[in-house]
Amino acid sequence: MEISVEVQNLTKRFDGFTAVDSINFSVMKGEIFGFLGPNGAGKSTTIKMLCGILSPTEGTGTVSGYDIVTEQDKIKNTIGYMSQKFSLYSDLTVRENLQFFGSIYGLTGKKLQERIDYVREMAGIGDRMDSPVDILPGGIKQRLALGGAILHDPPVLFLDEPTSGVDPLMRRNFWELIYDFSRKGKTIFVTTHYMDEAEHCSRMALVIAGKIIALDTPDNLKRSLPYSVYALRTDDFIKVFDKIAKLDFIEEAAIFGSDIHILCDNKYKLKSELGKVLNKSGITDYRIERIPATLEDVFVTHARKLGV
Amino acid sequence: MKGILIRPAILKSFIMKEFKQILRDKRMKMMLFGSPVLMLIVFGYAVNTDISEIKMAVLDSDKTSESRQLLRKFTSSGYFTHYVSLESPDEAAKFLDKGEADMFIHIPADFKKNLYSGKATELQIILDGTDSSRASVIMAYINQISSDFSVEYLTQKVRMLVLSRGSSSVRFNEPLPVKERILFNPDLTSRNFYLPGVLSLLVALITIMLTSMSVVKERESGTMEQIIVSPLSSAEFIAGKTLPFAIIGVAEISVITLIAIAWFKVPFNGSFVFLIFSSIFYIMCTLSVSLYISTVSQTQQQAMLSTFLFFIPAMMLSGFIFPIYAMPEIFQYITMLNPMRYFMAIIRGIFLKGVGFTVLWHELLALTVLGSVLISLSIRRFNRGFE
Repeated sequence: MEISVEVQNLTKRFDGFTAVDSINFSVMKGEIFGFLGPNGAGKSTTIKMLCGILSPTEGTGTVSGYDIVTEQDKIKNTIGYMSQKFSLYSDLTVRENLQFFGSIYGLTGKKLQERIDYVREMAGIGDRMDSPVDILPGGIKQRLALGGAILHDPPVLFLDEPTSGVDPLMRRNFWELIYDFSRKGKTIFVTTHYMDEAEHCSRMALVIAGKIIALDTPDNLKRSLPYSVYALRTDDFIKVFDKIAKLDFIEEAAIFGSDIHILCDNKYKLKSELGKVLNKSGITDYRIERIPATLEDVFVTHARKLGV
Repeated sequence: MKGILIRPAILKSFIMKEFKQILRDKRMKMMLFGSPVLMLIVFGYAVNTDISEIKMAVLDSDKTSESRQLLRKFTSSGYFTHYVSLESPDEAAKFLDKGEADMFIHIPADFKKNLYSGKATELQIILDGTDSSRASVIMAYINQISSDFSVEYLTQKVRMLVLSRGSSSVRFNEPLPVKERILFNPDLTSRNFYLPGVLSLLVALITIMLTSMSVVKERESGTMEQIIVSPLSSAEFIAGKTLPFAIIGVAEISVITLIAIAWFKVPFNGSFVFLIFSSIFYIMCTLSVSLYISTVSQTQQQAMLSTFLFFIPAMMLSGFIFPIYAMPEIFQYITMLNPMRYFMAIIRGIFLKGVGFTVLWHELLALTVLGSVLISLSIRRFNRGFE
């Protein structure tokens, strides 16, 4: 497999604050590589170093085989970047934006027109080519921003929280586009803080406080969890929650709707242990069920371990 | 974003994009079209440092035809008006304090008597000195009128003396007349002095403020990142950002020159081509300042404020209002670093004196040197921001 993006000990410090702390990873061609973490974990900083917006304090990296410090100029034509902020000119029309961004990538004439037509189709612009992008609905704007990033048909795409502030249906749409790119052999590096979105990735890195704390496929990450997850359903769930949250064999308890989700170390037999406690309190009407772990469980477990 | 490469097709599309944005931005349009109109109105109509309508509070204790003749001499000069007649000197303070009258003139009771007996006659004048330059001009007018009056009176007296002795053959000379002739701005109209200067202010204000705002706007709206990740070179970016405003600056100079000549009848004696030619070097200086400002401003408001932080002192030290030769020496040296000072001299030279390269080459050279130094400094600083 061909490596598309690779970094070694990549570090970025701002005035003594370490935003990205010696991270290592490599992304294969055609992969959808997710960077999952809370705000301020260093996701955007990493992407900006890879795109040449920021220069690393330490460490090395390559994108499409070019060095991110010394060969920035060569990287530029091979990447598309969609920043967290909407980054087209809001006072220009769709057509003007696409023409401008196409032209600065050296696209002209028929080739430019072809790509503009492609983006028009992909982003669902329809007959709004001459509307200012300001007045387009959020979902279309966001797909248009993606369109702006792929006008020059780059083999590597960097998407920085591309779906923040977009409704679920639009998000689903958006991910379909991303799958499509991936099928065409494009490499996608995407940051997000939505757990459910991370499930879409081929592989993902969990980042907290500038460090990668886990990196694998979503399934492997869930499997590697040393805990089992249970759902407890009962009538008076708030009272029960207060009672069981402090028990020493329970790692983590959280209310989900009218259920209580419980994380429990695999060495305990939760059903019988918890049964005893509940019976003692006179609670008999309940149901405990083992459920599959989610990425959120994985994330919370790792975060707890770090004391976050 | 690095590199000094400029590809014409890319630069052209950048410049077109800039013009579209400028023309769609309300704030920029206001600056572009509103500020010239405002400044032309202010300096074409409102600002008038010509001194006339000096209001006199008059106490004529003599009340003779001679004293009235003296007063008529004042009012017929065109500069003075008889604002109020007083009964006692004590009333004068009231009018001067309120600023209703500019001066108090007291003709003593023995004015005529002293005049005829050949004794020294005295006039009492009290001037409002709040505005010192106005007061000194008024003082000069008064001296002129009173000396005219005495010369006329003497001439008349001598003539009568000669006539009474019957010797009509005696030739009689007028006293030595001083005829003043003022070159370049013969009416001493302040409009002729200020309006050409407005060109230099406006071009600086517009190019500095709008360019820095338009750069900072890219940063504010996040489009800057999109530009940085693209293959656009930094030379293309800087040229794309500054050239539209350079073009606008030159256009603004042409239009305002035309308005000044056609509407305000400001004399234009020099070469228009030379005006445009030297404005290019001036605009090079102001655009460098704007690039510098764009590197220190995070928001468009900051860019606006920084523009004024440069603009106000530059205007004060340009000779636009306060003559440079009257400044303390240290400030005179500081003005040498001020591009506005040189362009101000060039513009006034072209408009009022009709001089060209042979006289103004010092200023043009200074602008060229200043412009080259400033532009290389600010481009260096600008590029450092992307490393």
